[in-house]
Amino acid sequence: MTSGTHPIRTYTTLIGLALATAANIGVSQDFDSFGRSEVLPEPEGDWVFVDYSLVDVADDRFLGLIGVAQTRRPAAIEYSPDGTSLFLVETFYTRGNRGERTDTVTIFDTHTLGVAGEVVIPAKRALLLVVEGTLALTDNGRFLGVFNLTPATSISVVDIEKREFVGEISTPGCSLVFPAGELSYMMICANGDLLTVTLDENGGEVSKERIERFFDPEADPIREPGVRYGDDWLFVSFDGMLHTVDVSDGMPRVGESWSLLNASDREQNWRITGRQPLAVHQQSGRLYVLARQNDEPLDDPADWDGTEIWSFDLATRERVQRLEARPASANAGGAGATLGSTSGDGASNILVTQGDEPLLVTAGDTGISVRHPLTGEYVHERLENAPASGWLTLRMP
Amino acid sequence: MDSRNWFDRRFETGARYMARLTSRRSFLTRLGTLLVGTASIPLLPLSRAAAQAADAGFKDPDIEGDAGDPMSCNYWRYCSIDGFMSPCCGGSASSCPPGTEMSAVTWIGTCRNPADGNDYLISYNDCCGKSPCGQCFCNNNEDDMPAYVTARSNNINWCLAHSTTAYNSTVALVLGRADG
Repeated sequence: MTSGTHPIRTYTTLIGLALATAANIGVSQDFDSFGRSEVLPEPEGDWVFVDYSLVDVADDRFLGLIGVAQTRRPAAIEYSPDGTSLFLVETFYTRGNRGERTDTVTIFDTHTLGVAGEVVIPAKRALLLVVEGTLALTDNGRFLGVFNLTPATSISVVDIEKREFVGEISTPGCSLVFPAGELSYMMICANGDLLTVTLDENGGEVSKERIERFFDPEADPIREPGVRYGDDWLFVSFDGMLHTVDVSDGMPRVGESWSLLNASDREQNWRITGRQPLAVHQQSGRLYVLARQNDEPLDDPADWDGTEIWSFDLATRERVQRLEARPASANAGGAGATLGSTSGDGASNILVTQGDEPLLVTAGDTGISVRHPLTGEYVHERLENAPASGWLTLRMP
Repeated sequence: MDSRNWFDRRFETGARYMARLTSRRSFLTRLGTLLVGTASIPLLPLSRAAAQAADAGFKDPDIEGDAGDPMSCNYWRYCSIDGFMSPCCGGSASSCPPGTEMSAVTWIGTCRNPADGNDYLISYNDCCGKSPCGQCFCNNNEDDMPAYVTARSNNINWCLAHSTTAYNSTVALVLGRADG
């Protein structure tokens, strides 16, 4: 074989080029402009963040990625009231994983998913793998609370209107932060109390008040991932009790707790499980939960996928529907059997979109499923254009 | 590999075995309440130096099989561990791999030593300052508590009090008799 160019081949190439050029002469060709990036249109109701990836779950379309520096942490996202910004907390070191630490509330543009600003906060933010309770925007949409753990517990308050750090509020013995009224946060205390932190109009501390014994952490602790239903926060306990807190008037009121498991369920050892076990469709008052059977109580229900999705009418407290949870992995093992996975035999995260025609979204280690919640009919048994799994956050319209 | 998940699992579980028996639960509840209740002062659950000193005085008795093997996930001290076992990463059950620092704060479990049938307090200190070791992941979760019970939860990155919060691996120090 010669290394030189064969004369006949060169000749043929030249003819080809000439023909191609001739063909273009009579055709209008639009040339691409350089440097263009997409900007997202106004959001649709079925856009969901899977950690940092924005996905249209109705159309199975990957829309973009939030430009965070560290994608390896699950995302706790809050939105500005006008929907143009979203907020995340980030931690940086000047030399990658060492050097001086800086924590920021980073502001992202919801249409470009790029950075639109930042507020430096004390380098104390809690590094948890729990998502719910790490970041909370007061219901008036003004003050962002960041949960700190050093291991002293506190909240850093950020004014998102002025884009400045306001101050730090010490919250001894109480952790996680949830919105709880126009200018209030709610926290869960290690002894089962609830702490209400109330701010003034400038974000300064006005009061801290405790409600004693919301639950008994020794007998049956509640799990961290609460969901909001109107003015209520709903939390599920390890033993399947649903606890309710009404935060409508700035001072939480504890409602009656009730069991998601009936006598028969308990006899059959059903448990409420999953990393993100609860979702609520606001309009219909339907609660969706992940459940599985396990002979023994689970030490950490988050490690275990739900094999079924149960739907409850929150008004009547009746279970109205049972669906098989998908997707299931062929190589399902016990929790901890494989690094980086849950039990793999169902769904670990659940979310329902809002509006008249909601979609039920579940994520497991092997993919994300989308279905009509009322019929259980699949829209997508497994999304092709989405991450395999992750924390699910609705993109607020 | 999605390191979010290992991290999640790493910190979502652990400190569980301690509460298996009522007496343990009572003891550790008091401990946890004390620690959390005073958390406005940066009181460390157990200082690194104290933990090391405690471990230096404890000799593992001869235990047959995996329960006596620090390289095994079934090693008796690992009943509440959730992370990469230090001996697989260049350290030992009571020392961190080269160039990492032992966390100053930690979560506490109680494990039963099969050699003498006694329960011991085990301090699961993280080794901090380098990226995850990736070897010998061990996820023995007993009686983990949610993150709001901070001293008994490994939903928390226990490298939190360090100059860097990078997590590498975990040791299991014997602090003393849980029932003594």
